[in-house]
Amino acid sequence: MSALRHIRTQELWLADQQMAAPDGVSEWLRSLWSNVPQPPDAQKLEDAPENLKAYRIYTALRQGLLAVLQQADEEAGTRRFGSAVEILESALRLDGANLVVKNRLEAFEKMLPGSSLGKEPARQALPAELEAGKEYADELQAARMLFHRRQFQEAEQILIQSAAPSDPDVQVLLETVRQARAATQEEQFYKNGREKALELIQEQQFEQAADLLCNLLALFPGDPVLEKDLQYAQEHGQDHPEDAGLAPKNRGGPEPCEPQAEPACQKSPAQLVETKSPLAGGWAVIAAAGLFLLVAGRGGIAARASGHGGNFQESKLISDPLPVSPLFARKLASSSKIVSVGITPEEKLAWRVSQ
Amino acid sequence: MASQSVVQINAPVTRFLSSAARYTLREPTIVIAVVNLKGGCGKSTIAVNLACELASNGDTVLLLDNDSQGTASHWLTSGRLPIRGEFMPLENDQDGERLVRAAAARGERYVVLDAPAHVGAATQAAGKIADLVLIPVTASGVDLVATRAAVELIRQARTIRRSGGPRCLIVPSKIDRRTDAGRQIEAQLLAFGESVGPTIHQRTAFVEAFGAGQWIGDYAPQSSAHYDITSLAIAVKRSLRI
Repeated sequence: MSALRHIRTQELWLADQQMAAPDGVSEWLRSLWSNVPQPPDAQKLEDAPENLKAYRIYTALRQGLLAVLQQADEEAGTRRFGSAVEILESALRLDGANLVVKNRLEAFEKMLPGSSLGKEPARQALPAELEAGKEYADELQAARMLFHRRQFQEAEQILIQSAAPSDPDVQVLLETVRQARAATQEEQFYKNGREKALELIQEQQFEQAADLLCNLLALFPGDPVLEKDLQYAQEHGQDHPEDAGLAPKNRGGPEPCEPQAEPACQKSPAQLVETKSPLAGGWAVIAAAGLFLLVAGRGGIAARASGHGGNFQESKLISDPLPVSPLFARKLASSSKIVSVGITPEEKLAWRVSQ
Repeated sequence: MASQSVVQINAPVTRFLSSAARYTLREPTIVIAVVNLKGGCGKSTIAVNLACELASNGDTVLLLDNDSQGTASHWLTSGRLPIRGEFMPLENDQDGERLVRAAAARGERYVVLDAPAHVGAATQAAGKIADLVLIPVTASGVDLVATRAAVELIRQARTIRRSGGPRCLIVPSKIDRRTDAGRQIEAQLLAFGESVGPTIHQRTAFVEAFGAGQWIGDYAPQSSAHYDITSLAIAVKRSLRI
């Protein structure tokens, strides 16, 4: 029995090593029978390499079919049923008797647009799809309203958790909201920072005021108000090297003074990746966002959400050209922000193709 | 007839859904690495306070302490910071990528890495996965030498990455303008050819905030130290927008 087990092991090992030439294994086994007593299932052993080869072929075929089925399912998942059917038809040429492939092919053929049976599954899926579309429309509308009320953070939260976070409309609005939020934060920082600097100057903490003004100027280079404040702080800081707010308070704020050549701490405009005055930044974002909201609000989602035969492509064209004041147009034209708002050219192209 | 009208109404919805499925863009997680190859330059102070400042503006932030010293982790153990954090030394590039994927799956807007003070797998991984690298530099000659090496590391990462990233922002740290070195540091840093951010000044409030287990915005709101961190956060956001 142990001899037989040994022979089986050797046979399987050889079959594994010589799968391309199972005949060699069979010959080796036959020569073995001439030296040792032939076991009762000798013929079965001699056939084993062939069986093993067949099993390996079957396994490889099965793995290949599974991969093809997966690919077809992926195509169907993106509603490209024609492509899925083609893949399955080619799979049937490999294994015409495979019931799984046949059944899947039958199911996908029903989903083809021309099929008389195709409408039935589509109708079954319709409520969920309509619900998803409505949810998306509601979210976008809510986000626009919050944006209009300058509740940027709330609008951003809705858009981030949107049912379709990758939709171009959502992406554009999200980018606009973020830029508006950033512009607001910067304006707030400018306002609060300068107030703090003036407070420090009043407390005669000139060096701390100068530090703060330097950082403000690094973010808003060339701002004449900040430059004057800094000049004042630096001049008086030299007069009061002890600093630290020991001097009496309420001495008065910075006095108007002639601009100096260049404050010691001022950084070049190229120092930060992007520098701009807070007001200019705010204008750019608000102008871009306003235009976006007007265009999208008039035509974008309304037709889509209504469901009265509205088609997305058509809904984009519903809006008439908007009257834009010359001042607004100038601000739009001069704003580099508008260029950066929105989706990338590749995404735009993909979007057009998908239409 | 009824089914035909159903199909007509369904068409735009279907088109929308299929186009949405094609768009695989997800909410991106922005990785900010705070790196320098020398200790004591304020990496953890900047990493923790910057992360908290970003969180205070309503963004979700995850702080990852990749430094075996564990300063940021120690800070986090107080439980008084408005952010989540983990002690996670990076062993290799794969760890870094896995880490960011995990963070993205959780939906954090920002991941702030506090990298160790040496050239190792962690620092190299940080350079490869970060969108922005902050290099804090104090006003000392030793720091300037270490900064040169860190900048070189970033440039190597840029050559490897197809996107051209990471961006880099050198941050003058622990600066005292009453000293000559403090006044000259910005000009010296500009010579590296990278962007230089707002200055983080030498303030006792930072040390005290660490002792209290708080970030500067909670410990001393509207203080000069808080304004330093706020200005850095604004510079960081601007750097990332371009």
